[in-house]
Amino acid sequence: MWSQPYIETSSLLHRCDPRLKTVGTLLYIIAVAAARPRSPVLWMLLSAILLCLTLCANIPLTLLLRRIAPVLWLVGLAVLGGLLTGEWERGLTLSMRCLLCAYGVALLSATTRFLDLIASLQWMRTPSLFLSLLLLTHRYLSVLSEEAVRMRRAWQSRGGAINSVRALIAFSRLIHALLWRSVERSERIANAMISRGFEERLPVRPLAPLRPSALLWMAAFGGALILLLAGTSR
Amino acid sequence: MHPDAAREESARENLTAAREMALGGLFCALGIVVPILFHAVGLGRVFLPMHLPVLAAGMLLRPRIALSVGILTPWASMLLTGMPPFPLVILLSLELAALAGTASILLAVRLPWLVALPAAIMIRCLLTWLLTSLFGGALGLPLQAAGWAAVLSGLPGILLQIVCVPPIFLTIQARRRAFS
Repeated sequence: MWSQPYIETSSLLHRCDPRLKTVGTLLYIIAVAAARPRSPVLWMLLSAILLCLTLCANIPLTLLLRRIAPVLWLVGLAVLGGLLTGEWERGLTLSMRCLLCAYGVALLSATTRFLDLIASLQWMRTPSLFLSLLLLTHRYLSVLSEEAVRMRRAWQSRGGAINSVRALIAFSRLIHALLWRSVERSERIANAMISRGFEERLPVRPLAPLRPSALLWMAAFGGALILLLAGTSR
Repeated sequence: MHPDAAREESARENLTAAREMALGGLFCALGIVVPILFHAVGLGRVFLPMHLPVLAAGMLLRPRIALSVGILTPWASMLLTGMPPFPLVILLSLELAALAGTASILLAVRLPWLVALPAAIMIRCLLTWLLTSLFGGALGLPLQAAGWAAVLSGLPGILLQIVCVPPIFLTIQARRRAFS
């Protein structure tokens, strides 16, 4: 029903520990948020980091750029804001921050499986309720997608256009049916969970112990970002 | 309390927790699937598709899980489908947490759903206006213009929420009452 964000290929970045990638992305986002506006060298270096990582990931650049296309309307708004107020710098810096952060997150989800991301979040002490909900979401997404595909097909076979209030009401009924079927399904899931000994949270598949080399890489990446910010702040 | 009664109480609590968790996970998944379905039939974001399952979660689940569903749904969607993109996911996460959290808290303090539903939608609208105004201001757009645009463009979605969510809520409540 949709293209999975994870891109199956063999690369240095794909083989990297998911915790290293998750923490690295967080550090990168913090660095982008803290970067000074009037420093073109810094922004070029921050963009170059992503470019290097994309090369390491063995993923076509255009594919990731297409994924961040929805952020482009922000750039349009920034240009509009610049036209209205004459303050180009503020809007353009914000849109640059948005584009780089969106690209960083797109790269993370393209190189890390969702379950590995959840395991990394567990390592980062994310509340177990969040992790359990994410696991259930991941588990039932495919089931619901199949149902949604069937509904879409049925909708298309009946005309497939919403051009009247009647059609809108019919579509509302369709969404209502999807919600209702999901609720019925959840009852069965809850019973299955209880019969398998559910106790407040679902188990997350643990990752292998973190290697010292991964910790070193993490520290090195964080240190490099701090040096970059400090070096260009003068 | 008698040990048997305590055990029964604990088992019942466990069953309720499992039900709420399963329902929460499903609403989260619906928060990802429903927007795709909307876009597939040519209905855009003015119908606020992600808000529908999250509001239903707010009406049906306890505040802790409802709030978690509101916070997590946009993030899970971003990681699994790439939409909404990164900076917007923060705004949407706050909005949906307010929507689900308000509805759930108001129902938990025994307010009727006829009050809780519009109150949750109104608080969400207020937050949308505030956050979008701030964001628009940061982009250099006239203050409040972006806020009003965001709130007014979502009016068809609000209408859809008012039409779709109460029947689901009432049916499930009736079923729960029959079960208990």
